[in-house]
Amino acid sequence: MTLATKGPSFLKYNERIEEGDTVIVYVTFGQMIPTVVKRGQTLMMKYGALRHEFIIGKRWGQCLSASAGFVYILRPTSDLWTRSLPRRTQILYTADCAEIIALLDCKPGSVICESGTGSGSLSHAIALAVAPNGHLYTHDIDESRTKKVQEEFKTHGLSEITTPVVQNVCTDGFFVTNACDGVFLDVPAPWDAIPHAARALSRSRGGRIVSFSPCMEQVQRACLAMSAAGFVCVETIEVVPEQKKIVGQHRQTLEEFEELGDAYPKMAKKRDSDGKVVGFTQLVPHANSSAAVPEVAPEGLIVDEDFDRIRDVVGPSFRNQHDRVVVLIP
Amino acid sequence: MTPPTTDTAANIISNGQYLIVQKIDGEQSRIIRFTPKQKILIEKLKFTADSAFGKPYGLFEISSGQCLPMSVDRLIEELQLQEAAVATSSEPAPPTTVTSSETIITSDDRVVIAPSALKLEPEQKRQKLEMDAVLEMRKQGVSGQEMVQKLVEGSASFQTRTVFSQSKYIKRKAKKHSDSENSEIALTDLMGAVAQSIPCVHSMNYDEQTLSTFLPVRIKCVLAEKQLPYENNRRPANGEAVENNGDVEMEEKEQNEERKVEEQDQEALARRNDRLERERKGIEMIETENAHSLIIGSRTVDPISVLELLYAKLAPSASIVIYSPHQNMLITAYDWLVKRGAINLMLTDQMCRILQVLPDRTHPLMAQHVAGGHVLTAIKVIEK
Repeated sequence: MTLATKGPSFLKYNERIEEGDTVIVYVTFGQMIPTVVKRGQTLMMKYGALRHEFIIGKRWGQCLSASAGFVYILRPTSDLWTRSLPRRTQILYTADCAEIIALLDCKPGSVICESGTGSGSLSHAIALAVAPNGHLYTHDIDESRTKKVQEEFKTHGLSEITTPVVQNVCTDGFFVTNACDGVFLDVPAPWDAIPHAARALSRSRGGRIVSFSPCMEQVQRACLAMSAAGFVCVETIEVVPEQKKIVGQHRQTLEEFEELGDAYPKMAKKRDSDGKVVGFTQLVPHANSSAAVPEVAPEGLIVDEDFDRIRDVVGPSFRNQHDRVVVLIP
Repeated sequence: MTPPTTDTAANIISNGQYLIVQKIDGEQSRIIRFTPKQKILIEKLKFTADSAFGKPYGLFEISSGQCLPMSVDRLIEELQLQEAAVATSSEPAPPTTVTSSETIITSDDRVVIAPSALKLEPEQKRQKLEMDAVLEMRKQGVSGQEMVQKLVEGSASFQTRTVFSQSKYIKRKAKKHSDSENSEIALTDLMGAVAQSIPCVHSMNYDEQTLSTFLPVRIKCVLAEKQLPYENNRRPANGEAVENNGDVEMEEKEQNEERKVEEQDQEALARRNDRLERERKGIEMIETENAHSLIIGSRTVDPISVLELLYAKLAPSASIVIYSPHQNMLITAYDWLVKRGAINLMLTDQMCRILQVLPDRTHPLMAQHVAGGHVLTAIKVIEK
């Protein structure tokens, strides 16, 4: 039951970073770079170069200075991995992964079958959920993808609890029979794989099946196939995650507007000790630039006492993660 | 029929266990503690808890108050029988159309929208069989299946219904008239369920392995920080918090008293000691900057009051996840976290809705709550 303390791993909880560890280099909200730390190598990114020597021995969560800016070095989690992994296919994002893991009832010790492997986003999430004594069998028809994911599992210290298999589950079934607790399907024809899935599940313990499909037609056929294969409590759910954008809201009276015009966001009100507005201060470093909001926004909002603002949340938010953080100027 | 004998002890239902009971195609699922001689009632289905003991989790068939394990093969067979029943009863006199019913849609039956649904007739006219006649038949002991057959024959609208509507009708009538025969329920282990509160974790019968992953710490201990209010132990016998002012003598007295009582109390004491030991470990973990994530989920408690106590004690690179049904609480928490240099801040919510999936009849279920609340996440880092 004890978690591994040796070897490169997503499951290791050492205080300091060692050579061979996978580190998520957090550059900005939209840019995270997963890196395997190795002496002699250098990471090049937006904020310049960062030599790996500087990373080794540092504490997780530390802020490091690269040649042209600051970055944070973070401990990998399945969520951070999902957001930063090298994409070879379309991937499942954390909101879906979380729902799938809950529906599959994944817990330490569970044996889960998955198809297809894809880029390994959900695979990592499942592997981390069933660790340390469960197992994930992940199937894909593409050998090169499977190889890549296998390598990643090895680098991340997950190879003992995962088995990537090149196999078409729709025709050849799963790698195991009468053994697993849950099956996840993300295939174009889930109805072909469902009878195989029923055989893969443990006959004595029973188990759960979750199928992910983008098309309603696929869902309809999958539902019928599930009932026919003897699954009960078949339910279809639709998950729509929404990311909110938190912005500072500028509010002024009509009088203020008449007198001073729209001061947002280039200016902030200057108040005297009684709280009366006496003037404005320049907020943007380059007032001449046409962009009111800097392109590279620092994280979060900076609270400015001189600036009237009411927090407001607007939605629906932006698919593009670069749009997410809107910041009002230092 | 009988399940294989390879079941490990962990898969067997035993006395005192908490289980999720759900009727197949039923609307509710309930968490019920199974104790001897207990009568379990779910959606008009009654059975004794004793009949489930010693059997593995899974699908059960209820027959005269007893639940019997049911195999999937039987379920599939029954499903096919049901479908066959719909197919035959929906066919009007000429049997020649049977073969083509799947592919060719004739003008009369299997229309997309059931004309019966459009014709708004009073219920009585649709069913030839009078209520009295039904009751009479029941008295005479007519079997459920026969009764359903009669009702189908008496129904004016049955023939004009669509296949799904027909099967729904049969299911509904069968449910009503067959008492508890052939109704299936699913019993599932509770292990995967979320522990809702600390006492809940204790009372649930988690196995050793799962339980070892929980280190429940009372809020009292967190608030008192290092001075552990161990004296204010909860007496497990009545579940009420017993104050005993930290008097050692009283503590001993209490223990002496407990020794006199039955073994049950001994067990309770052992449980309590075990719990206190795990609580100590939990507090130690918090104190030594060892916690790698903090999850706050509350309807009323301000997340900032929790963060003020625990944020400093989180390991760097730890994730913080805060749930709240209200956005404004999270926005103040967002400000709080931003001021302390937390990164990767994200405020999300999620719409999750259940769909009815049937050919030509797929739509979200009506009258369901799709809003669940909001989640704020962040990562703690070492400040510059």
